[in-house]
Amino acid sequence: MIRRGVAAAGVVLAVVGLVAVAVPSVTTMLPTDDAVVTVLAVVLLLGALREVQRRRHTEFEYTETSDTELTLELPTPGDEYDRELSRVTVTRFNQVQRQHLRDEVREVAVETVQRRERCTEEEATEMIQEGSWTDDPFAAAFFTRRAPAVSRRKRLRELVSSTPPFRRRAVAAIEAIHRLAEGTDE
Amino acid sequence: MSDGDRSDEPDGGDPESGRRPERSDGGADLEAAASGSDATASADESTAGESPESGAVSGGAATDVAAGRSAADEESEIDEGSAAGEAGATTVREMHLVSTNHWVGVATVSFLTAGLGVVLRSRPLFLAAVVGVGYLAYANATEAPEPSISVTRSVADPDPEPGDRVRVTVTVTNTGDEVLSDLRIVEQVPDAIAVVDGPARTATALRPGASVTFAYTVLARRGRFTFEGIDVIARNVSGSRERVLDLATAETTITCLPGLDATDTVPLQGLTSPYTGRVSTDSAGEGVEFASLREYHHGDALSRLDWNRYARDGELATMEFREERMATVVVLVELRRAAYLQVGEDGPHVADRSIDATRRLFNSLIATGDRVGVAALAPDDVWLAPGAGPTHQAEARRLLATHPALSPTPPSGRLYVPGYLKTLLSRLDDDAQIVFVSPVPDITSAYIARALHVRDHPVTVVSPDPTRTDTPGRTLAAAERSNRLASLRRAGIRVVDWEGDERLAEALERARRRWSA
Repeated sequence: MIRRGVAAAGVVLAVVGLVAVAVPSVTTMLPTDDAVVTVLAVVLLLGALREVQRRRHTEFEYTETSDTELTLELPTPGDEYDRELSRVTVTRFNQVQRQHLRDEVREVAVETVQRRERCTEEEATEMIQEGSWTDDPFAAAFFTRRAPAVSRRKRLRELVSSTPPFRRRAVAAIEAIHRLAEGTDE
Repeated sequence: MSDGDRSDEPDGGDPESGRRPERSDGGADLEAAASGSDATASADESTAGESPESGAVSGGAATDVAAGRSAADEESEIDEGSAAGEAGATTVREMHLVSTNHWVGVATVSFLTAGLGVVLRSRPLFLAAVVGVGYLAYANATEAPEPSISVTRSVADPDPEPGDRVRVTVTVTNTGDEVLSDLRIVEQVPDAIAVVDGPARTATALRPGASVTFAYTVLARRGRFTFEGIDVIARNVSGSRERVLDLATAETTITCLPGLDATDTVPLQGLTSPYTGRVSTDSAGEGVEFASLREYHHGDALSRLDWNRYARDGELATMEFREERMATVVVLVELRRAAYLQVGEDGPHVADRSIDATRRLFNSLIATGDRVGVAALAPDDVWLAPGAGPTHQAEARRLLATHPALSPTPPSGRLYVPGYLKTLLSRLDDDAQIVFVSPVPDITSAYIARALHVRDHPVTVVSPDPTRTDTPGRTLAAAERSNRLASLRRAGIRVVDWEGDERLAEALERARRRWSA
């Protein structure tokens, strides 16, 4: 409705303008003093600024066509763990996320240790809690949550490295679990 | 007739730019480039007139109806004209209008020139604002056209072998009376099949009655695939507005049945039927493999007497052999959503491998004289009762190739496992054993295998390996699965771990050696 009104006003003004070309006397009653003209100029320039801003804040919205030529992608087991791991960064200390990931890895570790050491779940949990299930100090430290039993230089290197210690230890733990699981089969 | 050669969507550029395919002028009586099935021969022309518009149609409902009617008129005229009766009537499944924002900000020119004109008291500069106004009018005066088009699609070979390349030719004709100045057409290729040559799309302009043809090649794989739609984007001349349509076309189907290839003999467990077959049992009687000697009973066949012993001791003894019995086997293939996996980004499709293994196991078991049935652990019911003979085999071949639940795309529904188990158990004969083809993606699969095993249906798990160890997460998943398989083995279930780069026969042989050791 407003659009239509504005359009009608525009048409009327355009007609008046065209008439004014032929009969300039029509415009004599319009105010032409400097103040009014300056205000008009400011309004027009502000209008230009607004249009520039509008362009800057408007995205093109061409419809994207689908990739019909490709077949559908299916997940590989473990992709969700990778996503969780990649969310762990040095700067963000999300304890809930880390604890969740640690619990997931621990579950697999318990099962693997139980299978390989032929022990009960409690014994396996204890071994993991103590860190005696693996030779890799970083893997053990992932569950014990204590400093890994390695030389000071190695610890320093872990702290300086760009990978967060949490992720580094998680990867070490996963690799240790994998080595254990892939050992001689029953 | 030429292939559409536009593949790239212009990213917000000039709608007039870009190469355009040649198009043949006028008429719908284009001959399909390839021989073979013609999808439109049976197209239902009556649908064009009553095209239901399900989508949100903004603006100009009256013109929509008019366009629809004129399309129907045009269609019938063409029909009268052409002897072949080719008319790929389309129905609109969804339609919506979009502003592309292509010309947003053009008013800046008008405002700036007019504003500077006033400030500098310059009349020519002030009048130059008219140029911007002209552009604005050009951008906004027209609306995106409502395309009324017909689509004819033909495939070179509707029944290809797996791995064949199939050429698909699509002809789009403007059956309306509007010029379609900027038309983008994207074929809806079924999800599971890949296009190996040529983009399945084109961009062009079409006068009323003109048509464009483009072709592409797909790689056939096991299954039945239906081409049934096309996406169309029509823009107005200035490119400020576009109309997006999802059109249903006549259906074209590719059916691809794999061959009858089998694998090596499948090692089975000891549960058998009363009929003579090839599975050696522990009970002594007639057979091939020597089992024991017993005292001669009156009436024993002379051929079974141990004459050596008679010569030595003068006593009559009868030799007994291990009885060989026929087994009843149900090959259960896991096709829950969780089993639709892929090994890495470009690795094999695990559900496809499972189905392929099912087919090979089935053929091999049939060939060795067992009674074999097929079931799928899927939201849709798939059941072929155990049987034997060529008819049964042919039925299984068709089922494994074309049953919708066995498609290469994951199912949308969920499976209620306890209910499924109940149904399956009620269907199984008492002497049926199970060959469970499953990647064992989670606890549920292991639970199902155990549940069947404890109910006296011995289970052999054939498990295509879906895991990889190239990232930490995948390594963890591999360890998880390794543990699951170990827990199955502890429960007395035989497990064949079938690795990705291994032939099924090799995996079976490896497992057999382990079991007999």
